[in-house]
Amino acid sequence: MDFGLLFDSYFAVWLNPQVLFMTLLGACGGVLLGAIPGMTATMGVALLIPFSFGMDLIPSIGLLLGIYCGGMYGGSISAILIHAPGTPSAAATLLDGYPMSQKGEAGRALSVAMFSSFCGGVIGALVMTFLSPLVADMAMNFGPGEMFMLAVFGLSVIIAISGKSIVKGLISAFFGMALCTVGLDPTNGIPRFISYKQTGLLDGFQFIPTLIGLFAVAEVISGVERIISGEEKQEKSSEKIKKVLPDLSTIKKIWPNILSGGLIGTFIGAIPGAGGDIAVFVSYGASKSASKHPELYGTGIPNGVAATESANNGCSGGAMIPLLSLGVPGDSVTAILLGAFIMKGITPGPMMYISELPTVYKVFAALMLANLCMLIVGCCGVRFFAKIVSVEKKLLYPIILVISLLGAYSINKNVFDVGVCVAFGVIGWLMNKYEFPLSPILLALILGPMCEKNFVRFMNIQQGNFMAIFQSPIAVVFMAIAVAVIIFSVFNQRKINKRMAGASASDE
Amino acid sequence: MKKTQTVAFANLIESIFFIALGIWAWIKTGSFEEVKNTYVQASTFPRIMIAGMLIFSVILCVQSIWRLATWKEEDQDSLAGKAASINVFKERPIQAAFVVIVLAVLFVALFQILGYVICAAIVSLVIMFLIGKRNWLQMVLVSVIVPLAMWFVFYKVLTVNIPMGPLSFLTDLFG
Amino acid sequence: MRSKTAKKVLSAVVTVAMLAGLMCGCGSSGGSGSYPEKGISVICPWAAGGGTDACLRAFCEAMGKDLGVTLTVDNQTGGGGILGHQAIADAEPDGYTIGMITFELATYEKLGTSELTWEDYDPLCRVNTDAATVTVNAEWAAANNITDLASYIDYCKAHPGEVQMGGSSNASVWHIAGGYLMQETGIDIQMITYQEGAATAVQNAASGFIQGVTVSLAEARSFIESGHLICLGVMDEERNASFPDVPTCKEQGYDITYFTQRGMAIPKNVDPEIKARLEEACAAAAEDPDFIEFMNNNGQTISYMNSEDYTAFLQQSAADVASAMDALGL
Repeated sequence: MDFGLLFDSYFAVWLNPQVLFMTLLGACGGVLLGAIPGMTATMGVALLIPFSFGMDLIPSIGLLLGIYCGGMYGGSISAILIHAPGTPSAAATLLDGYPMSQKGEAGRALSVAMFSSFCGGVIGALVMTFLSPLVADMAMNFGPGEMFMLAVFGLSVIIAISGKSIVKGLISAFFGMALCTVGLDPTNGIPRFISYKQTGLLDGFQFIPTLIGLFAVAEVISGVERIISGEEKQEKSSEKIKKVLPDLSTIKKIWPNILSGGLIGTFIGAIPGAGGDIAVFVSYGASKSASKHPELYGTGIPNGVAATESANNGCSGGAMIPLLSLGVPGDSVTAILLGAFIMKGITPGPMMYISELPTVYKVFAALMLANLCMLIVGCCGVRFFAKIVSVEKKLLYPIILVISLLGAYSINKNVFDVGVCVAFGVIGWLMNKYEFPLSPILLALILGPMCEKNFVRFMNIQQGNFMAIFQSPIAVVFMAIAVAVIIFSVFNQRKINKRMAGASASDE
Repeated sequence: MKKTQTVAFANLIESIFFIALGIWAWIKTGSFEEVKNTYVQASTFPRIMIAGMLIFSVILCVQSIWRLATWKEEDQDSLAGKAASINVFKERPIQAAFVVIVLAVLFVALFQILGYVICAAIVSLVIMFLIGKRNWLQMVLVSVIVPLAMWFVFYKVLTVNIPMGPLSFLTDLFG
Repeated sequence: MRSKTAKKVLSAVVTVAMLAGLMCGCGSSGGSGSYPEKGISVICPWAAGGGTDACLRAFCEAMGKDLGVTLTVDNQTGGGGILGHQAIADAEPDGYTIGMITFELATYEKLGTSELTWEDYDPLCRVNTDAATVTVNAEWAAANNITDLASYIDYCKAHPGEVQMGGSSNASVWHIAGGYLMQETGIDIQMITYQEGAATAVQNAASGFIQGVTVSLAEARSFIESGHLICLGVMDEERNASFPDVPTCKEQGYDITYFTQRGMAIPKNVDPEIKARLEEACAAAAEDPDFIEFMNNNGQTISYMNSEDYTAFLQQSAADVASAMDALGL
């Protein structure tokens, strides 16, 4: 580690007005893009690549990293305020974020999300700066078997996010996993549950329309129902937002969640093929399991928001590690960033640390700067965003519906996807009514394809010998953790149910 | 309260629904083509998942039957409570929810023909009226301007084309 | 209180609308009366940010310079590219909707997923080709004395069905490249599919989970440079300009050429004059220095072909692809 060079690089990047401006602009755009359901950071980065043609490398990387980090935080805004995760990585934020805003703490939830995003991002950037070679070595050791077990480990969180009834949560999860298999079989292209003629379903149910349907559309339907039955009260937004950052007592409460979330995010983000959408659920499950009051999770506590938001921003740092040191992108955004580097004549990979070290350090500095810019944009925006909650619900619900449907369309430009979105809206509404938790379906939709693809690939490479999985230490560790998590969460859930029963008994 | 209004009874119906769905899906997997050059057939993974769904649905089914068999009028636990209803003919909130669903389906059906702005404006106007908003100025302004603004952002800033139907001239106007 | 907030929101919304009105003045482009009078929409059947998208966006920039209007890339994705390809074929034949067709078009009919073939389009030009390679894990190669294509093929013949090579997803260009390799050399290797794309396959090969990959040089670049992978041969007519040390298969005595291709196309029945104007723009774009620089940096090869040659090429490649898919049992 050449600290002199690192210091020089920070100096050169942070004091360059063009880089500052571009990064701030990117962060601004990213936050806004992320907040619109259906517009993801990936899309934003892809659309802005042509604009960066004429720029130098570092300003254009600053711009793109700004969008990346901003988009990660932006997704939580709509998750917290309107129950519609703006990006898949914000899907776990609504578990506690939305209840918070319903309790009239929208501003607090937003500032916790922003602060945790920033801290998570900084943790990611620090790990990237100091541990890149180590983490990259770890990432190289992930083959199909390890990826399969990582997916299984991710799925073990399901019980922790199932809510009251574990049985219903598991039914939801298996239903979700079965839904993932609709479409062409990934290995041999055999149609499953469809015929070749159903072109819209060849790739299965598209993730983002499904996500928007299950959460945003379902929320609009039940919102309308609540208004008619008179249950919906218009919040007068009694909350006065004095400070845009969370107060000290809150920070004291949430810092362990931020720390663990940031680290979990960084390490999961560093594994190529696993991204923020998985990390947030793992982090949420971990912080719930470690908590003294697991029964409060899901009712709107800042710890839940902190755990998820720090994890998804930690991912941005994590995903940069294999990108720079291996030339292998960790997720879809870094795949596009890879293109941006190559366009400027620099090939990320093991050689980059040898031949282009100053550039590598400048990218570290730019990522740190992007996180800072995200914090600045977030701080300026909190008061404004929090106002959305006080818009009259009778105007807000229809608008959420039409914006969500547009988001479902814009991903693939396919009307069929809008239909999928509406169908899942109805499914989500019904499941909500009958207390089937939605998060397990979502987690299954994220992990199902990863689980199946890697399982089949592993079996094909090992010529059908599944026991070969025990030869991989990484896979065995994941398997052991998964088993431990499952056993622990079953007991934990019993404890929670007992406490809840006790609490409702004492109410009476 | 009748036995058939309890959560336990609703759970029973739900479990039967999922069991039926599982059996149907399992039968479907039988028709998947088998290939030689792979160690895992296309039907393997879906079958494992369907089996999981079936097992837990059966558990839910048994649990509910057990609860119903021992049910008494004065029971207070969560399973004995009143289940949510989706009776369209009796409950006005459910009727409203169904209207929203129908509107959303219409939105999908007419999206290509009428374009986004017109569809969105109609859908949001009708929903606003349905849920009791009567300030016409606000209603019309919001339901027309928001979709227009969204279209503009997508089209101009993000260069995403969106069907506009009769309003396509706007696209040419903003070239 | 309630109406006050609502009013605030309304005023914000009105401001946005007014801004929209203002910007309309700046956005319009002057029409000269003849084609093109307005912006052209270009359909990309693959997602924003991918290889096709990057190539197309750069090409559109260059075409726009010649045509004097903006070309907007419209990513219509899904169904393994079928939806986008279908949208190009079904577009209004007024010359204001064009699109990029890719290699995968040749596979749909054979797979049974769609009836689309190259005959549903009027091809404008070929833009780019990227050749497949035979690239293997360096440690594995050293352990088995594999130094060139001939020793690789000998090894595969001695160990039929044991060598595992990665392509990208099922029936994708690199997957079929493996089939083509088997068909042309008579070896038996196992192709492992990577739905996530070539990057994962390359990483797996570099770490030794599989023995090699058939992906393009650009995709395997970082690991070839680091020495994790060695490229035994490129399935191209000539050596790649960015990798002058990597031999072609042809110079090693195996006449194997196989590449993915991307080109511009319009729906049938477009006015011949408009088509001619578009062809002219394509030819100019392929010469555009910015485009050339972009493609070189990206490691993608520009291999321009005019409309006539491209049509003949598409016809030939449709037959080749079909026979390679037979070798894979697709």
